[in-house]
Amino acid sequence: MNCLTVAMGKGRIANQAIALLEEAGILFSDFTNKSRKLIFMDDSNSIKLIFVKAVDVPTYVERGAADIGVIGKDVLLEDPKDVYELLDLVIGKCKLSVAGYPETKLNELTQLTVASKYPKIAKLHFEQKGIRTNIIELNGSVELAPLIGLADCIVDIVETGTTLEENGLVVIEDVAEVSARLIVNKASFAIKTDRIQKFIADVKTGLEVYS
Amino acid sequence: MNSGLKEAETFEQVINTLSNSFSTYGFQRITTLAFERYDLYCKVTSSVNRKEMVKVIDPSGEVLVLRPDVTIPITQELSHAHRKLTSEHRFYYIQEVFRRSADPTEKIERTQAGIEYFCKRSPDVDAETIFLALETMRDLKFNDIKIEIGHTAFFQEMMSQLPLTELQSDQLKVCIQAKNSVEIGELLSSVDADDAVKHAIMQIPHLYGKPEEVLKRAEEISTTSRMQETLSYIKEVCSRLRDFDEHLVLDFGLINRMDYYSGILFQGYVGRFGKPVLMGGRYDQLGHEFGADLPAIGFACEIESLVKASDNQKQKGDV
Repeated sequence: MNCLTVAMGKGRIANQAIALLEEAGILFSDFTNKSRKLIFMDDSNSIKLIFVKAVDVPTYVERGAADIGVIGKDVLLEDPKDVYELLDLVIGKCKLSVAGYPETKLNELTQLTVASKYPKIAKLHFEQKGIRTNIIELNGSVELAPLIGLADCIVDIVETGTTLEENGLVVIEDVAEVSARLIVNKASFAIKTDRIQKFIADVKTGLEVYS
Repeated sequence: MNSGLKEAETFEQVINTLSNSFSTYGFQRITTLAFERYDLYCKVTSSVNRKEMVKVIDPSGEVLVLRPDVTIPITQELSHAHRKLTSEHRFYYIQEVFRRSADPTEKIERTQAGIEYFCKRSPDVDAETIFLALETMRDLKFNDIKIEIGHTAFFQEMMSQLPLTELQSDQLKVCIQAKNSVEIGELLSSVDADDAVKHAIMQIPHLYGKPEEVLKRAEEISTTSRMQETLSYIKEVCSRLRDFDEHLVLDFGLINRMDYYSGILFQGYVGRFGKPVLMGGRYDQLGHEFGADLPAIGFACEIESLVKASDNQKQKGDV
């Protein structure tokens, strides 16, 4: 009952994180990619892994419903939470970039219309460059926005660039580097200090082997 | 069972426990006005976020706010009577505060209980106040109580040795609060400063844990006499709390939430509740805002959080 709860979003980052934990000697033998189960215990029965929607991971951790979370830096940048961000797990690496048609000039319009899943990051990025924007928040297929004239450019995650390329778009500039981070609830860190520090140390060892 | 009724009962019990605990230690209950002048809170720089205050306009056109905080009006009132602290004053309060959070689902009204102890700075009174915080949480029958203790001067002294822009220093504060070593390193790499100072700042996130051991590590990286003084002060405070060592955590990454704090800072956590249930610290400079010299230390907690926390512990405690 006194176990550590770790929250992750299902998908590629979770698979890599679980592989990383394996290197650290924390095994989830029950876990298979296809399983629809949302809760898994590790083999020593001391760590509980819960799967939540990725953007909700910081909320679970901030509220203490999970002690620890694994989440992309993009989510933390868009919606900062009052949590500790203790490790860069180096997995799930990609970039947040501005993309659009190759001929797009960002600072020639009186107002730049930007479509993004990350409205706050997009707004801040252009504000710092002194560019006035009109931000349109979208939840998916963001690349479509410039194609049909909804926006001048987009701010989105770029991994390989294939989606952009196939739609005739290019990266115009980078906004931030993204990778998965290990976040920890502040109260848990105070109350379960030793256990969490041991977990972190294990993950660090795992990181050395994994990378 | 009517759960609303039950909650109201717990609410009352918590309030009674707090009143008893505070008055046992010689604190006197006081109340402040529900409506305060907006000017008062604008005057005290960086106290309460202006956006968070609930404003009202009276018939003459003056802007009022619904009490967003208790410490500031108490300090102001005391400053009318005393320019200088001649004897100590112990006050406590239990009343509603009103703040509009950026999150629209959060309640505006909260019931806050706390103490304000006007007295000269000394390890004795600081330790006594932290002890009272601990005792209060024990009276409320919480399990797994931890009090994190920090100090504003250690970090400030480090910052003063770095040529940082305002933006950089804000970013650094955010990283320190998140114990984000990776980004602290990235941020410092572009700053022109002594390597010893940079190294020291990189260590701050790791200066967390049992007082004795953390103090030892902090000594190794402290570079100025002011930092040394701060460390010996914290040591003095902790040595007076030695009997409660199991509940104490030193955290040099604990830095100002409210900018008026100066000196010892602390916050309390209990098991099965993800947020601090109690926060406090020393605020020796606040009196200066009203032209008086009124050093003080205090702490506050929200009754709603205490009720929720005790509920969480009861619910799962039987497993």
